[in-house]
Amino acid sequence: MRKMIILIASLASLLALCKPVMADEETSWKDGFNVGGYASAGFTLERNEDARAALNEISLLTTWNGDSRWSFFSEIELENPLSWDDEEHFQSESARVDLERFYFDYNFSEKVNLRVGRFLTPNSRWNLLHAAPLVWTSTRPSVTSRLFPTGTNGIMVFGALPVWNSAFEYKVFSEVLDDQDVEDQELEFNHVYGARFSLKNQSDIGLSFLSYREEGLNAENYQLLGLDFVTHIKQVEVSGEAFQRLSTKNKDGGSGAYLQTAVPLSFIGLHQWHWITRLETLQRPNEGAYERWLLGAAWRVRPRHLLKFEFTGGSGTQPDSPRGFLTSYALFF
Amino acid sequence: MRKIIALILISTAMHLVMAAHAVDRTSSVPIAIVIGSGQNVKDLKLTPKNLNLIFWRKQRYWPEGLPIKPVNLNAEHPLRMLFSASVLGSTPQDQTDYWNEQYFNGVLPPYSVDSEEAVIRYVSKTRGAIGYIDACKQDKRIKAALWIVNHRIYKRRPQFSCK
Repeated sequence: MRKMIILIASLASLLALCKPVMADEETSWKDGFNVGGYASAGFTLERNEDARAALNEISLLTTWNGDSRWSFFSEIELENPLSWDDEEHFQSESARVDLERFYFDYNFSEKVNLRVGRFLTPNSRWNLLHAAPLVWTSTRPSVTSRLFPTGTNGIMVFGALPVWNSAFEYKVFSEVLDDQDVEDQELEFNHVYGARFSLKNQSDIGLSFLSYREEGLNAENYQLLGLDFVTHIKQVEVSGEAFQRLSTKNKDGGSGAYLQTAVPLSFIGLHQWHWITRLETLQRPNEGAYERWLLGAAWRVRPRHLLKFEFTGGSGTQPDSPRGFLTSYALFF
Repeated sequence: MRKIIALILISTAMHLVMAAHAVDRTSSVPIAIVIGSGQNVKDLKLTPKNLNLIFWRKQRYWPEGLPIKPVNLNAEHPLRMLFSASVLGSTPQDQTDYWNEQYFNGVLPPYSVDSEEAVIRYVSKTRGAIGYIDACKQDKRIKAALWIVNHRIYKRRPQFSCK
């Protein structure tokens, strides 16, 4: 199955590279393909662990827009293709191919669109924009990956409406097919459905609701309420998300939040540099409290390239949330 | 020494006056939002609000289902700066993060060309295309659907003079 997907993506890439679209020529369905992607590589010096360098990911983005109301999008990710550490030196055993997104859209009108396939669960700003060149830090707030399913196989109705000088967007979705590929440390979720409403202006604000069942140690039905925002105060980007999870049996369902600032350093002559700070917290049933602080810097080397440095510390443990020093370089191609 | 300071001050003042004049001259250029001559303006139901959505690529289809193909002038072009300020409320440089986010979700920014003649050619020969030019350079190959004068968007042709 994976080989077939890679083969289809490769063919699509070749077709897209064949000929650029010319305005004065008749276009064919092949001209609607566009292929790009992003990649990141980094170095981690984790507390009480060996130093590690890795090519973290290579993601291939394929889009197709023809002369109809149908469009297609896919993201195939090669995770951890190559890593190095003091003991094992170079290795690629943890490499895996992941189908992050694969969906077809049909546009009834700008107010009503239908999406069918695998998509990112739209209940968190970070989850929707998690690509390494888009986020200021190498690490991801655990609350955006350990409290709800990050991907959903199903259907979604979505649209945008102009409201004053901003856009009101909605997304209503439901899972149709269970996740087919669950990793070792990955949490398993089923029966997912929910909605997200957001207002995009100088400040973006999103409100989301999600219902699902978590399997495993905390097997339970949950309802999740989420709030996220990003705004600029005198060029300082301030963003945050907060989630409260409720168990249907009135047990503690867990909660978490993060608050992040990105301060431009142009006032000390460092153009395209930002000073990053973040505080985050997460509390999951039976796992105790988890807290992290982060201090770092990010340099927008080019509009589509980002170099990041960060120190993290705090208490508690969660997968993919190291404490120590991290640096990484991410780019869109 | 005083003469040098006086020269620097005069030179700076002249530069400021010239820069202000250049900005003012650009901001007073009337802009026409143009579509192909084969398209019917009424069918497109174009308003100032959905012009904004079209150039943010939030509205991607015309009412009859044809994909919208917006075209921009390059990011340094004075008319692009004026259009961006009037319609999108920001400069092209400030839009980098937004377009990176859209790219991640499979949405590409409007096609970009270097001259108003290239906009006219693209719009006149591409089904569903929409662009903008200096309203005084409009010719038979294209139709004007909206106008922008002094940052205001008009559905009917306002009064302006072409030199």
